Amino acid sequence: MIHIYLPIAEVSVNLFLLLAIGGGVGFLSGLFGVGGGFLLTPLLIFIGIPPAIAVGSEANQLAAASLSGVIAHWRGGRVDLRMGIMLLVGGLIGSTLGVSLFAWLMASGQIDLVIKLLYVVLLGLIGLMMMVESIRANLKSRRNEPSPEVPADTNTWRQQLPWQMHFPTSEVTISAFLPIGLGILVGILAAVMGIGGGFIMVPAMIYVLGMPTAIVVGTSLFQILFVASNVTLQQAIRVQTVDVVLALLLMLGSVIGVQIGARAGAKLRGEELRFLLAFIVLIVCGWMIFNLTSRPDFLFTLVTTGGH
Amino acid sequence: MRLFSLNPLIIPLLIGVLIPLPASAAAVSAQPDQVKAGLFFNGETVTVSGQRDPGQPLLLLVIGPQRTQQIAPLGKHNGIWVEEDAHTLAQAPGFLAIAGSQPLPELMPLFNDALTAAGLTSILDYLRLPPETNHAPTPNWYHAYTSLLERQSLFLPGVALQDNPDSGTFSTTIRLPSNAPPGRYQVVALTGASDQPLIVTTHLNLIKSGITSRLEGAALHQPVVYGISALLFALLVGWVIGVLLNRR
Repeated sequence: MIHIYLPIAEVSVNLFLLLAIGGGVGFLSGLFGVGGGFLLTPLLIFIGIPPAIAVGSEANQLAAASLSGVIAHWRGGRVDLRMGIMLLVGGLIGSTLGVSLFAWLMASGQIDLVIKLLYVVLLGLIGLMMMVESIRANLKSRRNEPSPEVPADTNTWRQQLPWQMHFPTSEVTISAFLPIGLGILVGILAAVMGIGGGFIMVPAMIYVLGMPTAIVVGTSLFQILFVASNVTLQQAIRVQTVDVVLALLLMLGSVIGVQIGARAGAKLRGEELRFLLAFIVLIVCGWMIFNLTSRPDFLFTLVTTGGH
Repeated sequence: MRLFSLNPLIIPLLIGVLIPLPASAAAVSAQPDQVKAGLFFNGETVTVSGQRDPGQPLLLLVIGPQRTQQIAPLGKHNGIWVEEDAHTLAQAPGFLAIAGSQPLPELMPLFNDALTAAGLTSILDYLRLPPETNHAPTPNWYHAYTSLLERQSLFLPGVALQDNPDSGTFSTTIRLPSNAPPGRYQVVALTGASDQPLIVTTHLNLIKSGITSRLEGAALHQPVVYGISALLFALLVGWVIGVLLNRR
């Protein structure tokens, strides 16, 4: 049993457990095409990593994972650079605001509760939506009905907003405020929760921005790359919560897991994949609800008031 | 023959005559006195040993780095367990181990004043003494704090003491877990009679070493360089993986 002492988290963690967690989350990333941060943060907290360190270090790991993914999608011509830059502008504003919010919440001692509540709300909503959508899609495919395409330009409210811009790669014309606003929202969540926001970004790009699914994942990863980079820098400089040893071990595990997951995913149908992901998301959500509502073993807690 | 049968009593007396000792003497040491938390650190066992006058009571304390901590009770509001108003604990020890020749309530009346005189008044609150002796507040924040430490193996209230009252030697082993806070630990031995208590102290240091020390130093003292390096390293790993796995 090799234990590794994490210099910033100041705890010793079993090397193989950390690689397995990275590998397991990487497997799910490869299987479902999401960053996996929504699973990684609770798992790291569960094994004794302080929440603030988990969030900061995970952003560092996400920067590596997202760059690796962007390269693959870029080579396949599946990145809308113009849309990505708009999302990025919002993402940088959002992640900077998010780190300030994170520092304020840490100072007020409510960071753990806020992170847990955000997880419950987001995981619950997205898990339920995906579950319903995947069941409908599955029923339709059994009846051999075609899946309805998302109408790109018939959504009148999108055309009525100011600052209309054309995005040739995605073949849509929408207000630039939409991707910027979406970027701000995801940037805040990335900073506070240590997630890339893929599981919010991907459905929002399809249903709100009207982008083709083929372009969405690569463009989402492009934006996540910059947001995760900004969060890493901000967390390291302002609250000293980035543990590079932890991030490196997670990266090593996830690289292997992603490859296995991608191969497993190729053998499953889209509806089955979405149903499985929704199932996992809802299990994590249920576990967090149980933690928040069930009587704790001990009715006192130490308050987190600062970074490292 | 009679002389030999009285040996256990006579020999210390003879030694006392032949080798004059101070009226009251004690010594304590920790081995190792420097614990290094390197990359593969997973806790360390420290042996604390020493000697005091034979037959004297003994209280041994290992006190971790002290700092201000905030502790909050959990209350249920709208169905969710949340932190309520926090209480600040000044000079809260990050680690505390207690060993004694007798139960703590019997030892404390002897050594209460000695601890105060040694500037260790703050530690009295964390020793879990009966409420009538330390006028514990309600809720007892100190008890709650040590209970939280105990859950992380950072509070060891009843460490077994290998005590030889005849010779006055004692020793004990203390396990510093991997989550023990780095810093300077005080090892305090209290002995002697209540009217003439004797307090001896030594230190042990838990320090980060090698790569862990350098990384922590960079993170704390050069956060911009550390942050940029961490990011560049992650991007390098991501780029290498991305290129290697997507070769045509």
